[in-house]
Amino acid sequence: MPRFIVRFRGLSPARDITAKLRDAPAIDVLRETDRMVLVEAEEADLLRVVKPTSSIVIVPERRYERPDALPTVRREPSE
Amino acid sequence: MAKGKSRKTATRRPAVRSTRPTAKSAGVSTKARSAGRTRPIPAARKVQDEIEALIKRAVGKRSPAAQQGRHGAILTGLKAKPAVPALTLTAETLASVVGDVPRVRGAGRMLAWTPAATIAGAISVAAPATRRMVALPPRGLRSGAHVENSVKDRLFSLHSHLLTGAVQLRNIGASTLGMGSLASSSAAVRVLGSIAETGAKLIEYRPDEENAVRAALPGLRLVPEVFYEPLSVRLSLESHLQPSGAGHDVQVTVRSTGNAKGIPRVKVVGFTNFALRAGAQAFTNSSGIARLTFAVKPSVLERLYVFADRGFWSALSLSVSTSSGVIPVDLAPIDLAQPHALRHYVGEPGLTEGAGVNVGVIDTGSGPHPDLVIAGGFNAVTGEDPTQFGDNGDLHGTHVAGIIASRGGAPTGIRGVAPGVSVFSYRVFPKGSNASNFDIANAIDKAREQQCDLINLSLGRPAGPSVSDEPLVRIALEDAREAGILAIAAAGNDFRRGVSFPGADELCVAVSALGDKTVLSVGSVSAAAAIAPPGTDPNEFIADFSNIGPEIDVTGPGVGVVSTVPQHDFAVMDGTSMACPAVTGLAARLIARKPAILGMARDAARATAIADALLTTARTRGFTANLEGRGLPR
Repeated sequence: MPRFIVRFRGLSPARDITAKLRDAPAIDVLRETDRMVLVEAEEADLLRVVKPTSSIVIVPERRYERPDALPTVRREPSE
Repeated sequence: MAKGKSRKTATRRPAVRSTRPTAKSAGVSTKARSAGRTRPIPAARKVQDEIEALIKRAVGKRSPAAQQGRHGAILTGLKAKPAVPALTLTAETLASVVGDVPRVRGAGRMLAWTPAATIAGAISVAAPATRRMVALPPRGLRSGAHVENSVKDRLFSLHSHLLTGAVQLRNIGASTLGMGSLASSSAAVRVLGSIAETGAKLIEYRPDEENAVRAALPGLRLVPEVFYEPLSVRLSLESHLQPSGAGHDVQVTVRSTGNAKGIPRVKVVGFTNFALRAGAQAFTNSSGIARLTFAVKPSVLERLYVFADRGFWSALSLSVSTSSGVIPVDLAPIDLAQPHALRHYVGEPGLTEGAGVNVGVIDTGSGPHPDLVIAGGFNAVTGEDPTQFGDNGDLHGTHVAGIIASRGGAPTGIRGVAPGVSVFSYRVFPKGSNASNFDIANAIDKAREQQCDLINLSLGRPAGPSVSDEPLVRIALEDAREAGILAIAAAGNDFRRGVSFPGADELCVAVSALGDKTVLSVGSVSAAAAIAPPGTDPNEFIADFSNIGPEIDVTGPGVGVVSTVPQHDFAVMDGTSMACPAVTGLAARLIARKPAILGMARDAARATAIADALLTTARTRGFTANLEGRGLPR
């Protein structure tokens, strides 16, 4: 199931929204900070509970690579 | 911060299928007989070759129809050359045969245009029956607070028709807008995809209704749907280890030049084709012997890399014969009494340099090391103990922190650029794995809470076509900036590709990697990073692996950098990961000497003042701006 992050902008976290996410049966809250919630859910289910606004941003979880200058083998040699 | 440069935009060309079609799969219909020609129909391959030759002659030339703006027209009626039958191709086939087909302005698909007068052959190109475009709010992917309600209504209305079939444009937002001219439009779109209710939409419509679609959706941006090639996946070292006896082994023996003893746990990588990254890799055993296993034993290794993770310089050999069965490689021990990159560029700074400045290192975790003092930190990795912010075993974060703040010195240690700073370690990488944008944003938030003045980001991902490609980390960086923090980021190590995100973002100072041949071990991997052009000093270079571009702000020592690794060792590493903390240390020294800046209220103006102070000290090393930015800070 995809993961999304709900980010609250500004100084006041939206605690009521966090509570709704926790209570929603189709949404699995994986982690919370004072400005973000990491959830596992289908996007449609998430959007039913929280809508993006100017102070609420919803983005997919993405990965970052550690920069590495060492060449790495990507494939076996062709015969 | 006025960086004086434009935001990076992706310039990747859309992917096309690389498989060359057979005449049958190309949808070719040969009409030689119907045209009354008496020559036999050529073999499929010859026909395919003829198609390619005809199309390649035509690529780049615009048809009269295209010039008139009728992009969806089907071209026919070309001069026929008797030797070539008339052919019909789909646009997709055309693109796959030719490869990089010039884009017709405004078209949703790439099409090749063949002018009637010059092409030798009769080719009709069937334009696609529909066009796919992305409808966007004025900025970004989603409608922000300042977007007009009418625009949001149109996007919301499109969203409500997602995957329901064609919708008449007169029904898009018209009921709430009372826009008579739109209400009369009979054009229809299908909504294929949606990013949030008032966000971007993937829509499809007939090309000849383009004007009506645009007129019905004022305030929205319409951009073509484009396709990207998948990024190469780096395969892990472990996945390519093969058990002995599964193939043909090439033995590599690694010894120290200091005492001729075998060196264990050294990574050996042998490439048979470096451009394709084809080869084998293994670690040395306790006797310093590694066995590279190949399905077929190569006679020559195009490149042989030997990396020790600590204590030794690496080695690179080219065109290595395997005929003897055993390849000996000698590694030079790191001599902390000798000059190295950091010492060469910054000398041995006093232990109080940078005092009073808090620096956040967002990395694999830093420490422990006897030459490092970690003032605090946080493990942001989801699922891990938040109090365990030491190095996760990847060594990278400790090396980075040592470049900034190591308190050792010759001949038994190394001195960082700003040994007096307070280092805060924020772990965002699980061991051997990539970092989540959630964890990175969380770490940046923590650095803000703990009142860091600078944050070092020796990490990145390829920059997307717009900043909205990765909004979360950017938002966290915006919040950090609002708290007076300057972020310094590595440009990336993709061998002269564009600057990675977040370095490419205007919120960060992006750093390329500078090297000096005189402080590199001969025959080392580090020495191999030297390429033209040289700088004002002919021994200096911008590393071959360094990403470059207009987003580069400054450069820093990033080749053959000796620094700390746990628990009490030293290692040589190359990368913009090393150049970045060198610049972070220089920034810390600078603002430590400027109490007027350090004492400013923690807001965006403070971050801008830090950036301006850093950038104005930079001096060119004789490279172009896309290689060094403004140069090396002092």
